[in-house]
Amino acid sequence: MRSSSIAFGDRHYEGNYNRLAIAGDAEITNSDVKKVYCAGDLSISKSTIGNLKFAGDLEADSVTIGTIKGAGDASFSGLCKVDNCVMVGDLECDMLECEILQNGPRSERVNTTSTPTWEGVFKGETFENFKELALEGEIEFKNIILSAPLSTKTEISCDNFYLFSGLTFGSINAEHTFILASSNVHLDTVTGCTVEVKKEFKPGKEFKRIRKNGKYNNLCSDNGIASVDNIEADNIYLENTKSKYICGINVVIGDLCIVDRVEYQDTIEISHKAIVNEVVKT
Amino acid sequence: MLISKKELLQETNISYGQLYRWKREGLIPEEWFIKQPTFTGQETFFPKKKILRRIKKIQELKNQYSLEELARILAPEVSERNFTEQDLRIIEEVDLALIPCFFKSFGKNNFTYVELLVLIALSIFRKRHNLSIDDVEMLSKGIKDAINELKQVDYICLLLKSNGEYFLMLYPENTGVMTDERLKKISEINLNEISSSIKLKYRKSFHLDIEEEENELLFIEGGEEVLT
Repeated sequence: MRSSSIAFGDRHYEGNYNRLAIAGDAEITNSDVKKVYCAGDLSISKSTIGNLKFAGDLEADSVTIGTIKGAGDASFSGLCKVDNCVMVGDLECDMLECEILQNGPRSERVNTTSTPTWEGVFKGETFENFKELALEGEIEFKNIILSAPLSTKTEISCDNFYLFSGLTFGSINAEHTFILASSNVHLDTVTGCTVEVKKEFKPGKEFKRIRKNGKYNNLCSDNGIASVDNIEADNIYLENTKSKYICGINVVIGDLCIVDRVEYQDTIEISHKAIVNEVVKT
Repeated sequence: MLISKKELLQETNISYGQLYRWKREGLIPEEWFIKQPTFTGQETFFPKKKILRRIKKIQELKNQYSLEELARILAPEVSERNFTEQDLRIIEEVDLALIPCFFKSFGKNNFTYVELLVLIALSIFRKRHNLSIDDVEMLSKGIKDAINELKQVDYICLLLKSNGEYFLMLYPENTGVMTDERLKKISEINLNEISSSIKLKYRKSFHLDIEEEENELLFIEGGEEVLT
């Protein structure tokens, strides 16, 4: 039979528990626990945890966790799996697999003082970014949704990429890319099947189908001009975009776009409120 | 010889979406996307023969396999395929006497495709230069962290010697390497060539596929490179 424990001070746990509430440092090994609440540093190894909330630093080794909500620095070694992981703080891992991985709290009322750094290999279904993040590892996610700047040195590759904040880095390669036009967007290259840069975001069926934590209803841009040097995709729709080179199969250049050269294969539409220097049919 | 992206798309009748999807899946190596300045700005070029063969192969196989499976077949260097002890015993180029030494020095008993190529290179060096098991163990320990960085096979594995001790160096193909003259160059092996021969020889055992023309392949027999 599972027991529960409320502890003040340092503790070590091993076995099966319903609920552990700890104010102090704790070590959990070879355990199966439904819920863990910890205010203090926590070390977990070879265990399965249903729901973990902690404020302090976390060290985890070869663990499987249902949900994590953590404020503090965390380090995951070995292969760790988490269904829904929400972190505020630095993160270091060998390989962390998550269905949903979220950086920063969704609430604007929660302030964080510095930019966290994440190192390691992060894999999974959906990555959501709500606070500025320095990524020094690799992210391999099917869906990436950025509501705050992310700095990374590598090309971002995923199925669905949504950008609702400013961003300054090299390249994105995604099946579908949506960028909310903003003067804080400066990208080198965006490639894929569909690329959209728009002033407004209304979540469509595909977006609604993505498993995620955040709510993204009808977002509007700051009416600035996004700068994307090169865009290559089958279907391209642009508003408020400055670009050097665009090539695609079906291209729509909407209002307030400034483009040096467009190459299209099948169809092109250019708004009378756009400036396009050169149009070439290939 | 290079082919521009525009020409490639026209010749193979594929779309931008397909090309970049295959890049994401690792079916087309990132290194094949070569950016060069042109009068319109910058354009992407590819090694013509390699990319045309690869796309033909993808088009032939894409209805039979998922993209993930195709990546494992066409580009094992980027797939997550691991080679176990059982696999190593099937591969004749791996010196059986070295297997326990590899497990010990790498601290694991399964290896990625790129690691496998280095194990074969070490086996060949041992045969060619009568290296002891201790020598190979030291070389394996010395190189294991560097191999983690390798995501492709276009590398040369160079064996060096100084004061009776052996050292390994890995450097990209098509670049020269200059070493301290106190380090004597003993022998070198092209990992790409090992990869080509492995893909061909064990294509059935490991579902690996080949793209190179057979008469261009180098086989490694008895530690000697032989052009077939």
